[in-house]
Amino acid sequence: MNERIWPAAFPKPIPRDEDVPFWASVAARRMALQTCGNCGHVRYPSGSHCPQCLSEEAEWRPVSGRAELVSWCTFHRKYLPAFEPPHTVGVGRLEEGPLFVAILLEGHLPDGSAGRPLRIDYVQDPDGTVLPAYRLAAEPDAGGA
Amino acid sequence: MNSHGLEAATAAVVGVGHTDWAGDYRRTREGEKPGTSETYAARAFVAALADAGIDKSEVDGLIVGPRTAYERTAEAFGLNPRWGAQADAVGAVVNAAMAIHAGFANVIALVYGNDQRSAKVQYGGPQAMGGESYLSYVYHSPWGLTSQGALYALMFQRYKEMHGVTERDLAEVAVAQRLAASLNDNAVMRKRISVDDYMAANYVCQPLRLFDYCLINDGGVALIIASREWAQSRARRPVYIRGIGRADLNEGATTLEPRLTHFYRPAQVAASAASYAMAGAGPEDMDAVQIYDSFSCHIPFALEGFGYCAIGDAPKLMRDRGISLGRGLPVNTAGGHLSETYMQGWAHQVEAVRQVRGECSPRQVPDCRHVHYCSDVAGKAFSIIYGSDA
Repeated sequence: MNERIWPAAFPKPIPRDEDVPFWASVAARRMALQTCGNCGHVRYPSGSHCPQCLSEEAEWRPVSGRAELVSWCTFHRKYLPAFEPPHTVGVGRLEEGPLFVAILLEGHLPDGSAGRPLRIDYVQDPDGTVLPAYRLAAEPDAGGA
Repeated sequence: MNSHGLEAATAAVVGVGHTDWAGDYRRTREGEKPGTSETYAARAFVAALADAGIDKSEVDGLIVGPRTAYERTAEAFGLNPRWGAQADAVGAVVNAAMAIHAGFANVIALVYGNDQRSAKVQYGGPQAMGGESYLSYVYHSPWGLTSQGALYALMFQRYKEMHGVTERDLAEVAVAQRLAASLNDNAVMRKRISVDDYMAANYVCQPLRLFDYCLINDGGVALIIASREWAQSRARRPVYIRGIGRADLNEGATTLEPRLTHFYRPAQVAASAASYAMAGAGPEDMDAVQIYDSFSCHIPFALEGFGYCAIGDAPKLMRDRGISLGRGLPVNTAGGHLSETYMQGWAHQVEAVRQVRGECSPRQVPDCRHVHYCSDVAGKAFSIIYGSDA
């Protein structure tokens, strides 16, 4: 996998205590989410209780990195120093279930692109902050990495 | 069968007031500061009292909007009410109706002031307004997804993908609301636009363009809501709250599940059903609709969720039946947030009341008996039906 370097510093994540393990997994380039130890529901953002069954039992498991494109938008105005327009953000449905928002590295896509397979990649800014990002996977999705 | 204990016309709007939105917009553009949020709220309160024909001593309840502190607002108005609360526009109307129903107050002032333009309030970025209440507003800022507009751009792109809708279809909203604003002396933006003007404007967050976005302007709004008995004996032109419904969609809110998977529809359907049951009326009885429109695409989504057409058919409704004045289903008849004033839903209540009163010439909807207000901010769906009958 090619290392991707972003030219400017990302806005820092908002500090929630519950997110610390998530960001540690991202920094290690093995993004993980909580799986409920009682009912198996995968949740994001993280939290102390399962929103389905309210159990506190949970395990952090790495995601497969496979997702399907649900929607996307492209900023044509510069709101943040890190992101020169046009800047595209995608929402994917992770194989594990949750929706997940991330930069779409290919940029804007034509109408009719919903459903295209995505892979989680990682980008790093000059401060060393790592973010998960989407790139389009070859079709048909062959699986694996 | 009503799903809650409130009866139609338990309460009525007996007074409305607001600030000089268009004038204050010009002044703020010239660098002036016409007032603080508190000033605008007070000016609107004075105007609403005059409209109701009452002195402030008759007010026994006070509900303030999100941008002014409750105690300070009450202190500034010299009020010691027996009922008080803080809420957004539609929450305030519902709270007032419930308080009156329960006997906590008889004449309630609802006041809102917002100096968002002159105070340069941020609606995007890691410190975006509302982030403390809605995690989705700030949670994705590391990836650059920060603005409210972007959340609606994602929704509209998803809607395009599912229903084959075009951006020209969406243009109808901005064009229709600007037409309404052109007939409204209080509107901030009054120059009519065409579909071609809409399409020629730049994208802000694609697929949404400049004219899909609400204004940001200073101002205030106030309503006086009283019991049916008070309204019948004292009010000149009471407009009754005939239906109220509320339902939420919170599961998966931060990752935008209620928006992108459900378009808030289950909440909209439940809220509107409760309000229709309370009012003993249906969408076919509504003469005009006011829809919370921070972005234009609220309109097609609401038309579907609040009962005006089938899923995916809103563009057809907008094209064939029409949502502009003089057509089948007039929507946001004062211009809405896109063209009249961005009072976060408060001014929509004023327009609903004025249309039912019949005082909106030259933009008056003929024989207007019912006006429906629909909002679904962050998946909290509210449906309110205003009507002329007690």
